[in-house]
Amino acid sequence: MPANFLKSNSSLAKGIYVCFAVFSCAAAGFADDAVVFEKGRVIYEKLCVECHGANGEGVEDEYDEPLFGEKSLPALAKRIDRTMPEGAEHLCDGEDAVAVAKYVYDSFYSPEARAKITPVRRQLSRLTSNQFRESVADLIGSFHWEDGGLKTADRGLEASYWGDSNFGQRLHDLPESEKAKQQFKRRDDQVNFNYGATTPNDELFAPEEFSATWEGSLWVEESGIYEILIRTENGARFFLNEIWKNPLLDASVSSGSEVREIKASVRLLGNRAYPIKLEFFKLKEKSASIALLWKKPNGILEAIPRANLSPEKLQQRTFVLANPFPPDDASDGYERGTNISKEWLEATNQAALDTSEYVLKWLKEMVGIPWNEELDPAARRTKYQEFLKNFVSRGFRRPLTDEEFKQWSDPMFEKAGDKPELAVKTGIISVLTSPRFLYPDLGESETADGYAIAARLALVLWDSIPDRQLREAADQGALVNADQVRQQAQRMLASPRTKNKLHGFFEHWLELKKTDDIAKDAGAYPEFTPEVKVDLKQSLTRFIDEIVWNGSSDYRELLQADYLYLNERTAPIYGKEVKGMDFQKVSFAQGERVGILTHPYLLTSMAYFNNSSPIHRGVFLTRSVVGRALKQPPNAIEFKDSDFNPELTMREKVTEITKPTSCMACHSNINPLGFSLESFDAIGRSRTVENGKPVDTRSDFIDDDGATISLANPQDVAKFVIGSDAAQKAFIRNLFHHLVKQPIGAFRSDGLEVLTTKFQADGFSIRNAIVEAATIAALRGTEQPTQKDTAAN
Amino acid sequence: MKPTAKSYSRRKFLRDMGISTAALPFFSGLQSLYGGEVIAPQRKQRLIIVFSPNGTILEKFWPTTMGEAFEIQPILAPLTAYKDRMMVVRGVSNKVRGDGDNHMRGMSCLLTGTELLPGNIQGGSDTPAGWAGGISIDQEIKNFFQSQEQTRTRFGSLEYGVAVPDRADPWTRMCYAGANQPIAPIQDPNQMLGKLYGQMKGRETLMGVLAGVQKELDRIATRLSPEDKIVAERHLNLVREMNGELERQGQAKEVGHVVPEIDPDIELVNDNTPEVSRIQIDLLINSLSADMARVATLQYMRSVGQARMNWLGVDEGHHGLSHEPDNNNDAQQKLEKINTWFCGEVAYLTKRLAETPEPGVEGQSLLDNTLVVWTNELGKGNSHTLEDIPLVMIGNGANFKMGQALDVGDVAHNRLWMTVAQAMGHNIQSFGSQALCEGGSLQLS
Repeated sequence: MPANFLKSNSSLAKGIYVCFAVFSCAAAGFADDAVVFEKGRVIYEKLCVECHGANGEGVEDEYDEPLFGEKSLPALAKRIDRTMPEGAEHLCDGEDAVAVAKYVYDSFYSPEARAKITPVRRQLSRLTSNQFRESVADLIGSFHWEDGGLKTADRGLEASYWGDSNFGQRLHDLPESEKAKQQFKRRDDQVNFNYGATTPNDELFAPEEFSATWEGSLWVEESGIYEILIRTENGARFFLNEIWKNPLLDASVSSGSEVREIKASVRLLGNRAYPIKLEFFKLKEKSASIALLWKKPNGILEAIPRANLSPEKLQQRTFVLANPFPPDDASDGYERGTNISKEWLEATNQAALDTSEYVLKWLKEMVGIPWNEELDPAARRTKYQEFLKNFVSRGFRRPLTDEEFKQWSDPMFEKAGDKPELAVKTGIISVLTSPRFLYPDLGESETADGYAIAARLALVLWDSIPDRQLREAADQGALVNADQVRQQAQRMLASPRTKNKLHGFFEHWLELKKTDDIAKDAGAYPEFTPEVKVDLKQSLTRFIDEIVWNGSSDYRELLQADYLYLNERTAPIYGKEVKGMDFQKVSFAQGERVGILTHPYLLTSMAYFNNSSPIHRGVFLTRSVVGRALKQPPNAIEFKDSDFNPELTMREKVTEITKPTSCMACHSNINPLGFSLESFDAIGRSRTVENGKPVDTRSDFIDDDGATISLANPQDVAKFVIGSDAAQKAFIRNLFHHLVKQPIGAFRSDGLEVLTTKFQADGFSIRNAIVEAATIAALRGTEQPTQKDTAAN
Repeated sequence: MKPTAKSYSRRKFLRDMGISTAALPFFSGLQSLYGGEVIAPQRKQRLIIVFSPNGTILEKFWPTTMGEAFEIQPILAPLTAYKDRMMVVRGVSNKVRGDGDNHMRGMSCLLTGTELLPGNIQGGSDTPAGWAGGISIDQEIKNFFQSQEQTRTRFGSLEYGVAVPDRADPWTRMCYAGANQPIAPIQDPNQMLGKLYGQMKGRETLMGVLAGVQKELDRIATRLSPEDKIVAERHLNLVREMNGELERQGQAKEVGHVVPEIDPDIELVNDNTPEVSRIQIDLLINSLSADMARVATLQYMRSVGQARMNWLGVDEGHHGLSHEPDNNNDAQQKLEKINTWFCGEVAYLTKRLAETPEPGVEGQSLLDNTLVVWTNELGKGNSHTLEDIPLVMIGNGANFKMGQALDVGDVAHNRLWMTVAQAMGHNIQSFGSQALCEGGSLQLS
């Protein structure tokens, strides 16, 4: 077959490249387009269909993966030119490759084409387990008399000390002047004291006995199981949530001079505060010490840091469902509530039962009966009805009419007779097992009103139920148009709930969940201790939080910042000096660090036990940051260091192992990106030499338009990413999917375009992107761009 | 739930017999009525230790005549009906010394027979002390039972509490898994129910609710797209399946035993103590009948407990009263009332044991195979003695000779516990402090 299968005007084809790189629909040259398309179709039928199938669906035993992806049209043409048909690559070159690419791209390859063939739809989804927990916590919390959350940035705990072993009881009857000599208060950053044979204040106290309490709140960033531990040879009790009764840890009784460790595991929801109190007393033991420690999810045992302690004495408990749920489906790259399994149903039933028991325990308080008041069954019934009506309305995210409520609740109260508490129990279980609670989207086709919009906003931004303001806005009919929705979304951004949700996004986008078991060669990297590992993760979280929430919120800064947050422990490893364990912003020389691309935690987690891994780093950058799809490797080859000539550098080894054409289809992307980071070792330190040879970070790389560019270092990568439409789209798509848990195309076919364009117009503000994504999701894509939007574009 | 022919006829049978439906589940022995062959299993020996605090009024407790002709003193009056099944044992003393006040040692050495370890808990003006230095007799026997296939049960032992305050110190703990390892009694019936029945708890409520979920899903499914309908139907099928399972479990339980329903509103406050006590006893009977454990403890309040027994017309705290001198008649009368009330609870426990059939053994009740030991951490309340601690044994679980009052002289309580262990088949030659075991076991059978 001749190399020039059909003739075509190459300059015209180039025009199409540019056009397609920016917009999905080419306005100019429609007729010519059709010619190229037709030419492509003919070639495809001849050369490609045998292995790829009539609609690119793939052919068993030939090439069975469907042909779809995220490459731009020009990049696809280049790829076909170079690699197709396999084994006879010369058969389809130049303009022929362009034509085939055009046909493939428009017919089934591009996301738009795919959307046309198999329209994406919103799937009926239940709450994910995380959404279930958050919703129940907020539903219960909505009946507390105080909003949760910390009001000040004060850190540490309020400490009270007494000269008796009984928390001042023995001082009670002393005159004030005497009392003052035997007690004092102060702020303590942490609880980690070793008094030995002395006391917290040797001028006031005798060493035989003293006591202390530390009160305030525990602030946690991450959801998960926390191990809490007290270590003492004296007496101590630790209270969490409920600070007067039922200590979580009871170590009141000492045993000679033995230092005891008493611990318990609790599940906590992230970005929330929990009331805590620690009591401590010494009586005639030889020595005294007290430490309050924890192990965060994937953390190390450490004294609870100052940053996680607040002297604010919260009244509000937070109810956290402790029972385990099966993991949610994440096969599409984001967690969705689509898997209805028996384990899940059992978990929700258990959760409903547990919640009902919690409510019954605190019923008086939640329905507003003073603790010292007893009401007769009829009066209780009235109170409970009022409570249950609010409970069901908040749980269903829509108020029930009096008639509906009566119909729903009367049978329960009748059955309960003079024990109306039973009706409350049944009611709560009914709400939490009801499809109307479990499937927030149910029934919306009938009533897509303010309540539906409020429910969607709360789910998208908080993984939870609407708060008071959202409910009121819906009540007042003030949640209808895009501006109103946007305004609410803006307000909701300020809540720690949104921050919590965004943590999940970054964890997902940066693949942080996979990286919790980092292990490094202790011989080669003695400085990489478990503490450093935990610090580095903290450093990354801090970096992201500062940019997204306190700073510019600029996506570009995330990719380009020349600073890191480091503390005393981590700074020296990276050639810097910091005093104290608090993280501080540390700037680096021009080009030394570029945002998340060179953050030591990511460089470390995407590296081998004793060397860098350009493949891991490259795959991550290709997929998550540059936004190009990668298929499964055609044949899985394990990278075995011992198979190589020991003289080779890491770059040389990777180049050798990925040489085959079938590998290079993907590794032509992966390797240049990975190699650009070869100037960082396995724990993210700068290096210029590897295995005795100078590090080479330079490669050629095909950009979105199919042009060859040179990547010499991470800065070049960042520059490329920031200017890449595909990369921006990948970020927005990931963000949308994490927030909404439905494909963006299901809301409007041009949703990704619209959001990305807005993102660019808004100066790449991540906060704005969140608001816009929430608005599209809440309005179901029915929103027409307002004048302002158009003007901005 | 539909009553099956079986459950209906049995229920009717029981009603005709005048037995409360609460006892219904325990008539598993009646299976034979339906033709099932019942093979008599090995005898299930059980031990229940009941504790009440703050000593007693000696002259209203101890019989003046020993032997079979003993007379029932006022405090023991509630047990009159079981006179021939009980033994009042006088002369047992807690001779453990060392650190800690008498209340602490009374409590934490009561079942352990060992000295307290040094610690930071100050009682009166004595040297501060910590937890007991060894295992308690209930746990010792439990470990023995659990070590053998034929006596092993799901829990081995269950520790029930009534109005035990929410704090852990040597005054509140009598059961120890070992030195420094106190075991907290469960004083919340709902918590105990959860421990015993886990998922089964709330079954009835859940069944009713799931029926509603089915209806709702049915209704919703009709207006969903075909793809979404698959999700709803899958959910619906699982709910159906689960409801079926719950129903079958319910039926199975009726043959074995049901999950007791507990008043969900019961607040664990002082004034509800009488109700909580009865619920805990009912649960205890349930758990023994279902053979979840063969050793149980039932702890009322704690040493130095200040329960205010309004339900007896006593407004003062129990411990405060117990300090009043002998010549304070009012206090004496109130203390008599209090101790009589405790005895009444022991009598209720005894009654429930006596009326509950021994599963699988025709003609026997639980009481035939259970030894109840009711005791106290002090002898005489106002002088805090550890001599002549009140001790009543009921039932035939240990094959002791019942229907008598016995004065054993002045023996260390270690020897009593050794005797009980041996009677349960656990042939130990000392228990707790070895020095206090001199003289060996007591002659009680």
